[in-house]
Amino acid sequence: MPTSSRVLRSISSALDGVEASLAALPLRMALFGVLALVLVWPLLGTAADMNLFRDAQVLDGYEHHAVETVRRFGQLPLWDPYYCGGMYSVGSPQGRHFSPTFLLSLLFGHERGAPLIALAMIVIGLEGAYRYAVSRGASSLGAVLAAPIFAASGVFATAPQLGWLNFFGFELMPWAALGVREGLRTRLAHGALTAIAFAWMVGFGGTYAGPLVAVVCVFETLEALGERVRTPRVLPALIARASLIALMAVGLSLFRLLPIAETLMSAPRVIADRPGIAWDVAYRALTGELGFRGNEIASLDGFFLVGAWAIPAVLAGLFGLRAVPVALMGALAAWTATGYAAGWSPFVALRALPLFSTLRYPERYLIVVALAVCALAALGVTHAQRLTRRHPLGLLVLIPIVALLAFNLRPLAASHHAAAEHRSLSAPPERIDRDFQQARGNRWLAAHYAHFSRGSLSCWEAWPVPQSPFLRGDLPADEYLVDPAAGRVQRTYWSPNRIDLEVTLSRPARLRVNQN
Amino acid sequence: MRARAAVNFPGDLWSQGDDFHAMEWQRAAQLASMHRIALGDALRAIDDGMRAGWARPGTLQATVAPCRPRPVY
Repeated sequence: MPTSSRVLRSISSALDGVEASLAALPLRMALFGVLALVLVWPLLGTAADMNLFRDAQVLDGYEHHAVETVRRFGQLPLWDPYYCGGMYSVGSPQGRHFSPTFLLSLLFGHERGAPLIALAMIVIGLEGAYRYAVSRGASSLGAVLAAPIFAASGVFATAPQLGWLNFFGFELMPWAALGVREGLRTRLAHGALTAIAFAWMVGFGGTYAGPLVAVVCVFETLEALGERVRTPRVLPALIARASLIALMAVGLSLFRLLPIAETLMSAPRVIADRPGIAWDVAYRALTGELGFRGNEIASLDGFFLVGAWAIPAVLAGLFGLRAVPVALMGALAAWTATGYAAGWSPFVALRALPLFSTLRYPERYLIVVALAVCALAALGVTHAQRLTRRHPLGLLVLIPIVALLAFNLRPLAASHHAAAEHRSLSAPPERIDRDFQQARGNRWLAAHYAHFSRGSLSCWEAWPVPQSPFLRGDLPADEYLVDPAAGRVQRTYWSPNRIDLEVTLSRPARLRVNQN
Repeated sequence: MRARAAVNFPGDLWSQGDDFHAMEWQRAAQLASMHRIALGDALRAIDDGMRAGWARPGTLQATVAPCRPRPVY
């Protein structure tokens, strides 16, 4: 047997071994678990601390209030009396407590639960990105190496720092897209993945994740229809399948979608600016380094980091027809991310749609670019593997690409660690269990108040929360008669969802509860 | 602080209140650091004081303007 054939056979058999190992779920999950652990390590070391960033104060507060409602009062978190004078908790779009990860907050407390949620969501995102890349034709080796490009990308590094844990809902994007891909091509049952991913995202406060992932799913549907355009007789069946998947997704999310729709219809969010970013800003957001001014993120550089070391793999992935739809998805998403900056982009058209009119930040479409980059890089490794199987010199392509993708983990991990180290942290306030009352509060520090049984009337949200003008933070009792001479009111039981009062009246009177 | 917030955001009651609370946050953090107490304790003291009437009448406002996030940031 000639030497070159023997070399080729041994290379092929080695590659087969790697493929088989990585295709096995246990090894892959172990690898992904270790990687996720490395990424969130600094978060685990400070798990008991409170994040003082202004958005964290609001969003972590929602989680804390929900945990209190369940643990202390044994009630579902339907109403949140601790913020803004009382909010419809189910209809508050940014709360993350209607998702499976709430169990972690219930078990470990909302502060210690947060890094565990990040850890779990990164593992879920890595596996989702892996499966998505494989469904697009990538090898196991390529998909494993490329999965962190999406699931460990910059947005997931900055999310814990900003308190935007609900942005981990984006980790479900590849699962939702995979459900549509496979649901339209193989078994409809795969569409359940899309439905579960959507319901999870919506329950997890996915105000951006839900709509953006819906756009990706529409793209996947159009791609599937485009593939079969030469056999028009199958198109009605495909459209019926896509409609069924959409129905399943909406149906499973209705428990949260309807209350949120009610909220947004009663208090519509008004956005009046024309946001956008230039192409060079988008490039730096994907490949730059996170910078900080004090503990605040200084610019968009590195905010959606995918890592520049992935570029050779992406370039290799661009060869071949399989890359065309992925590249198109990435290019369209990048264009959409420019918003109004270049005059017109798909973002402008999307803004004409009901829910999309309330979304302010077009650069968040770069998260979709991260998924496309991930799939292209995985295809790049796959092409290099094929080349190597045909000729040993293919190793000259495969080894550098694999090495650079492995090296790309370094800037990704550095970004996670830098963001974690630039958090403003403090110990949570002393817990004081006493009768609940509203305080004037302070929305910049809103998460403090529930610890000492107070609500914060001072309120910020992305939408105009309806607030009663009669709310006060200095009342002797939060349930009172407008005409005090008409009788007396005694609170006998208080909980977030129910208040019992004993009222004695000498004449008809109006009773006020110091909540919305 | 209220007067400065009114200058910073003329005609926008919620933004004025929000700006005031940003200043209150900085002041509470300074005081907490100065007196070596937790920030939460400083916030609790403001609440206790407002309820117990520690301040001169009319100097502390116990109400807030309803949430109206700005359409442009």
